[in-house]
Amino acid sequence: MRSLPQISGKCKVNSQWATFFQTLFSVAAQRPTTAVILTLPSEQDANRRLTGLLKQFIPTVLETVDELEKTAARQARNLTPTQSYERAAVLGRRLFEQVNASQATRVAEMYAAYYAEQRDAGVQLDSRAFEPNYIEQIRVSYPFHPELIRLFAERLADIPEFQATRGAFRACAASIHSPATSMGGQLSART
Amino acid sequence: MDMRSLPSIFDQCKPRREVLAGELPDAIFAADLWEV
Repeated sequence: MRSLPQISGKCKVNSQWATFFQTLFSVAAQRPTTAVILTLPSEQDANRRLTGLLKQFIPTVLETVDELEKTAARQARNLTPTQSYERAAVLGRRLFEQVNASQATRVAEMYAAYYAEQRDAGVQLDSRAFEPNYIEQIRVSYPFHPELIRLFAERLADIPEFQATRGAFRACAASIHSPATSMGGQLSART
Repeated sequence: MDMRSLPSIFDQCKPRREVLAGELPDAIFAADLWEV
C-alpha cells in the first residue's frame, strides 16, 4: 500500500490489483480459518486522495468477493472499526495509561448545570448543549469534552493535510506534554 | 457554578510515558499484527 502514491493511470500496479485480489480471495476461500481484511482510511481527512484511488478498485474487488461467496458460501462483511461515539475512548487509550472515570458523572452534571445557568443568564449557547443525551455524551467522553472530539472529527478534518486520528492524538499529546513539562517533573513524580 | 472545583485531568488520568516525554514516532500508529 505504501507504493500507492506512485500510482498513475497507466501504472502497471493499477492493472494488477484485480488479479492480485482475485488470487488473494481464492487462497483465503480455501482456508476455513483465513480471513481477508481490507481497510480503507477515512475519506474526510488527509487520506482522501489515497482512499479515492483505492475505491476505484472496489467494484472489481466486490465482484470477485461475490463470485467467491457463491462457490465458498462465505460472507463478506463491511465493518466500521471505530464509530463516532468511540473516538473519545480511542483517544483516551492512546494518551493515558489510566483514566479514573469516577468523577465523570459529577463532571457531566456540573456541565449541565453550568449550561443551564448560562442560558438563564441570557448567554447564547448551541442547542446541542440541551439535547436529552448530552450529559451522557459528556460522561462517556470523559476526560474529553464531546465538543473537542467533534472539533477534531468534523471541523479540523476539513483541513486537507489534517489526519483525523493522528492529528487529534498529536494535538492532545502536545497539550498534555506542555503543562507536564512546565510542572517540572511533578506530574511524572505523582503519576 | 464554579467549574474550577472540577478535578484536573492530571488528577484523574495518568498519561502514557511517551506522551509525557513528547515522543510520538509514527510507529505508534502502526498496527501490531504479530499477535493476530
